[in-house]
Amino acid sequence: MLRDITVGQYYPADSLLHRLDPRTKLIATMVFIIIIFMVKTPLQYAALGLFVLLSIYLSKVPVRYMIRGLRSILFILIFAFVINLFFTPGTPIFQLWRIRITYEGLRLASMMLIRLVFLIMGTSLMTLTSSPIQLTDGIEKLLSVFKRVGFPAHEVAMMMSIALRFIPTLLEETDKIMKAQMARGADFESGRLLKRAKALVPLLVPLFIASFKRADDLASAMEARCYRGGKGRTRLHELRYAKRDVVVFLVLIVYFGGVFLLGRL
Amino acid sequence: MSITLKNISHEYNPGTTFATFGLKDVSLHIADGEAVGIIGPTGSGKSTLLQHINGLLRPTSGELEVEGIRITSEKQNLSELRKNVGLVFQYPEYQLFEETIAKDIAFGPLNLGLAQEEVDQRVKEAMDLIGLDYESLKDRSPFEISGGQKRRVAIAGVLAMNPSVLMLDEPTAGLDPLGRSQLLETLRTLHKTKKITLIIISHSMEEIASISQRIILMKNGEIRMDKPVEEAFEDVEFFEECGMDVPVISRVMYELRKAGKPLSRNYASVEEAREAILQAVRHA
Repeated sequence: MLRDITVGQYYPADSLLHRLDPRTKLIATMVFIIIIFMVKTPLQYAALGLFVLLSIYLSKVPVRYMIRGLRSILFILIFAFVINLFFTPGTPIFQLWRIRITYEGLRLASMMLIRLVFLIMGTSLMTLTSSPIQLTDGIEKLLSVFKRVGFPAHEVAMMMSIALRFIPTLLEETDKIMKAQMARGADFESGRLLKRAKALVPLLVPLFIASFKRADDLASAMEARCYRGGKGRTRLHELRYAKRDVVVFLVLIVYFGGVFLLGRL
Repeated sequence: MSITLKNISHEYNPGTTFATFGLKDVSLHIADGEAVGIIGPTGSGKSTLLQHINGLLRPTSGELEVEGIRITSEKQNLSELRKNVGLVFQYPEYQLFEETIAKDIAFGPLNLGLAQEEVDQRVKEAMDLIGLDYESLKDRSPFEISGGQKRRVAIAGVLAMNPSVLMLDEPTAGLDPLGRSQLLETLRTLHKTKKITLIIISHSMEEIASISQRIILMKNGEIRMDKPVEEAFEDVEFFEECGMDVPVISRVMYELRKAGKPLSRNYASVEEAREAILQAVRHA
């Protein structure tokens, strides 16, 4: 169950997407998200779908791995689909007593579903192909434009990278405590909603305590190594755009421009 | 009833680039009431093995029978198994969560569906067994006592389930010397008086030698050695090759023998070694 969560994880491999500058990937992902919510016609969706598939192919991340990541948000997907399907007014195409499915509802629900799937795939592709350190460096560089108006770019990036870094640790810890409680006869898998929620207490309390303790330890460890924020900090690997980044940017402009124009046809 | 493993293999993250073998073709039989010590370098599959015996992990291939219950790669309900097989994880104090110590220890028995009086009785018994004073500690928070006591509370939580097999993953890690020897003494008494099967993982050879009747050495997910404790530490070179060390006393005996002293073997306990050395000296 826990192994299904792939959001925020890094999948080490050697591919074009892995070698790209993290800033390129960050910008591309952001543009991709905006485009997802702008496109309306099926043809545009097909084009974006092709884009997602191509990116997955280029990233060398197994498709199965990506689909497993979707499984963890299956509930949200179904929920969004059902709500939109049944509660959109319009021309009915199917009616049974009070339950009514409209043409508009079906259209909206499918669109929402595709958008969410693309959104998750696109963003997890970014984290899967960039290590947490690369991501932070990228975010920090991109945000440092706002440093002049007093925006704490380094601190924000550091917090983000710590959060990302601890997702697997937290999952591991959850797994461990879950097993320990299961060895004491705890049952996390059966029963009604309320019973299941109650069953989580023996899991969440130790998890919270451990997290606070870990945060405290981490802060001490950073202070012990004289961490004092980003001021005057240099780095071992400076980010530099390569030729492939320029090529990717050009391809993206042409591709997304094309997708945009498809809607005008 | 006993524990039998037949050609157990376990693969972590199958089908991805992270795929690794936790266990490779492990076969093993542990009789009732045995005290078994498992040693091996980090990542050798010791914890994975214990989790299989408790049914927390299912084998990728092979099957095992624990206390009359068969476990294969198929999903099944294992609550009956967990009643009989207690597993104390590494640093078990991190799993404490209740408001009071008594309530935390009662978590396991309550999950077994026992009546309240029976649960209270078990909590009291478990605290007695592990050496915690029931009256003064039962209503205190498990978060305000010392690390060694927390460890005892966590172990009591497993003991209160009355298991016939007790497995402990590095029970003394991080305890001070006094806490260590007290805990080991408790476990030894427990094994003797309650006749339970004891399986212990430890990195301390002295500890393992002092508590187990049989030693299993694991490396890279395989069992590399499985001998009674009296014979286990004879082959010092083999231990070195596996990246392990023998108890200090066995090392001393080994060096003495290498220097040509008339000693027959490397004892694992200091008392026996003392006798042997005295005898050798007298003969000379």
